[in-house]
Amino acid sequence: MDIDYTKLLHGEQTLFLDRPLYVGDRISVQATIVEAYVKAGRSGAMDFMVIETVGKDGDDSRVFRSRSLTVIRR
Amino acid sequence: MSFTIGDLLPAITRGPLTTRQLVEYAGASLDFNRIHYDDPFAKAGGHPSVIAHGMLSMAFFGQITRQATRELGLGAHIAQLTARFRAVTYPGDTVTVTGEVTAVQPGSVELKMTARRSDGTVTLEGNAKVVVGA
Repeated sequence: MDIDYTKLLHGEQTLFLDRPLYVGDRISVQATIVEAYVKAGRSGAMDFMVIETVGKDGDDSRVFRSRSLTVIRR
Repeated sequence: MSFTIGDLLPAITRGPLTTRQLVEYAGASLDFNRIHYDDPFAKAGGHPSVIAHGMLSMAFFGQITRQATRELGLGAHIAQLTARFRAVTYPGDTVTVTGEVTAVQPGSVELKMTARRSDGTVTLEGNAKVVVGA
């Protein structure tokens, strides 16, 4: 993605753990951009991006889910 | 289980943070945004110096939450951890994290937490849920 990384801020982060992670676990992770929108801030427009990440184990059972809000000042 | 709503967890203090630590955290997390270890790059973005990864302070939330998991005993684990990033933290800053019990139910405890940098500015607010069993 073409992003000015000096303008990028991490707004919020949540991690939900369905179970503890164990030694020997093999986790596959898939991240998806679930929301992208523009909002007017005090110093101009800002881009918001919500990324959801899901981690699954070898049985294809969900082990964790995370939600991250990234803000990019223009 | 011996928690009561309003209980304060023993505060934890981490730091002073160093740029070296941010380089190490970049390597561990694979977050190689230069704003965390390249001073001219950070200054070009309007920051007075490099800034710490917010997720590093969120890890300190994880550490204070572990006090609750220990108290609940074997089988307890963190089920949810949330951070809202309010202000940046710089190398040289000491980060102090305080925590308070906000809910107690059979098999679970909820906390709210606050992180502050050296000048007292709130840098992160968050909450956590610890559960016993799956």
